[in-house]
Amino acid sequence: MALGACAVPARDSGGFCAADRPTRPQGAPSPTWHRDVAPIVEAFCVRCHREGGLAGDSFESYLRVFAARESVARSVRARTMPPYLAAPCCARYRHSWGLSDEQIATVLDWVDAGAPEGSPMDRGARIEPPTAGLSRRDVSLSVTEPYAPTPPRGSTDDVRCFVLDWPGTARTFVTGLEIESADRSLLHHVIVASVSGEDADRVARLDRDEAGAGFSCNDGAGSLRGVTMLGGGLIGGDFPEGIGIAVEPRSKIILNIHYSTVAARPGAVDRPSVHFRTDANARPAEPLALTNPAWLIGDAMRVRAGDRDATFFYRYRPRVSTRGRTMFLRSVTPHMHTFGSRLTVRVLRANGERACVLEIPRWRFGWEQVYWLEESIRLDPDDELYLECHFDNSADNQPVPGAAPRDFTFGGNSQDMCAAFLSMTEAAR
Amino acid sequence: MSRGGHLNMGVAMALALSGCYSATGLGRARTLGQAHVEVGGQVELTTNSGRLNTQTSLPWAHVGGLVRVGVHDRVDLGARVSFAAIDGADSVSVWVDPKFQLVRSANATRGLDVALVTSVGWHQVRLGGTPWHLPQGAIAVLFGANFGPHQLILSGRGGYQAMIGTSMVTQHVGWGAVSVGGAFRVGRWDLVPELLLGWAPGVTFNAERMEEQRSGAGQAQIGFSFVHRW
Repeated sequence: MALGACAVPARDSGGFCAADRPTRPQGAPSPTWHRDVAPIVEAFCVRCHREGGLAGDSFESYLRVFAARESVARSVRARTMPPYLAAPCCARYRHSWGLSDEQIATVLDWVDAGAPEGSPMDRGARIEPPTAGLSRRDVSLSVTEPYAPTPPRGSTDDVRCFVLDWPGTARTFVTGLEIESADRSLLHHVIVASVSGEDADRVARLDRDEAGAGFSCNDGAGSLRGVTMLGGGLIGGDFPEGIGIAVEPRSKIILNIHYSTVAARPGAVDRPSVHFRTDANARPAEPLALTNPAWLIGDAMRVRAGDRDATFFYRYRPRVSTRGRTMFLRSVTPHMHTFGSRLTVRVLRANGERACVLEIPRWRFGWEQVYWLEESIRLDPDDELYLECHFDNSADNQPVPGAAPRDFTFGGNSQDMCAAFLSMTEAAR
Repeated sequence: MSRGGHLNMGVAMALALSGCYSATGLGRARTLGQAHVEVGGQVELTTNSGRLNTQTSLPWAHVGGLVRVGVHDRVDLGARVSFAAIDGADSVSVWVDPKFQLVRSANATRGLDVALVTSVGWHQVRLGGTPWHLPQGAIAVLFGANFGPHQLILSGRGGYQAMIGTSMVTQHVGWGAVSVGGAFRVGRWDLVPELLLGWAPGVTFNAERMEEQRSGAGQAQIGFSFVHRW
């Protein structure tokens, strides 16, 4: 038994992502709307920023974007829009809909230059929107009853869990998924999960006990116990080749949908579907939960009222999970609640090197999702995983605006959490 | 991907919640007598109560050693060390246990002995790279009924431990326990099986849902120590 643990484990300071404003190559011509900015906006923004879309403002014309240019610049620079939380400087992910540093720099330079329209004749090349889609649909499940989102009083958000029967009679691997909504303008965020055994019965009871389709998940995803997360976010697609997540026979599929009624049409209803690619055989992605178990005890993770940047970190050498094998990280799902502001997951190598797995500079509760790494990250037996979470418990960041801050600990939806759920495989590809 | 049921989490919880120290091994309720020495070893199985949640009721094995020296007819100085380890997770604890004779039967083969043990210890739990340190203190009152060379031992105990770690608020836990055991003399050896049941009422465990939060932790230890007496 090695007992060389007397040194206090230190916080791994220093980010992978420069806080500086991204810049374009020197000598690049001043950007114009038609040549440089419109292709970015059309690819990344108008899916929501359109008449009847999820977002309030339409960005379907130069004049509309010109009018909102200052706000656009702020959001793009802060990387809060498009709402893809992972910083691209950390790692590359499949189906990313975040802007690259160069695209951010283009938008910022354009706004700084007075947002010139340029010539419609000088139109830039179209950028392919980041929608991958499934290569095939093997299983499609739909909610049979229409659901009209009904946010609690004083809120515009309604989180609903729909329960669907998995038709498989033998263990099957989900190798990709895609979500379809009857009214995309309502949709804010989706998590797809499976649950089996007693936990499936429990979820079915929750579904039965509540009138209408599904049951309320407005207290967070806390009703969901023993779930296996299959995917999330608004853009689906195939998992990396050969990777699958096992779903047992007689499982229930849970669609955890965050509806926003901000831009909803009167009387808007949804009847969501989820499509799966499945395979009888796949390399199962092994799970690995990353959090400090001590935080589950009492007030070990106490965040004081008024603290704008409470920081907690945990270093973990996961030999119990890897059983001494070299493994390859394939995906990461970060988890915090509404007080969370920043999150980092890294690999700290025994030789002193570091690898960035995920960096979320501005956490947003409604956009939790699975990030599939484009290139797997090697995890050797003596490497450590590193998790760091920041929380903002100031008066400006209360779940109920105007509420006085109060201390909170690790826990339910009125509190917060610091965790990351990773998947890994024995092979790099 | 699964948010529960991971072995690493279970082991972590088992270690963290129990404190995972070795509480058995205090021996007879009768001091050794001046200049006498006993040295031996110990194995112990620990498990937590299922009330915490079913995933944390893992058995956990310690092995250790102990030594006790009679510095006075009514006072022993003792020390114990115990270890537990699997690949990537381990713990070590060290105790100093002076034992004071409160009641001593005139004849060592019959009658009742009562002893007080005041222990201070340090326990380290390490999962991966981040250790938790648990300094602790405990008081045990041992009641021993002598039957020839053997002794039936009952005890009541209370203790306190702090849980200190990096990037966490220190936790303070009080606990109580009762135990039953026997010391069986075989030649110059004492064989001591024990069962200890403990409860820490003040410790709380957080969960995603408020109604799933728990308070109070139970612990059972089955210990077997063997000491050679000079």
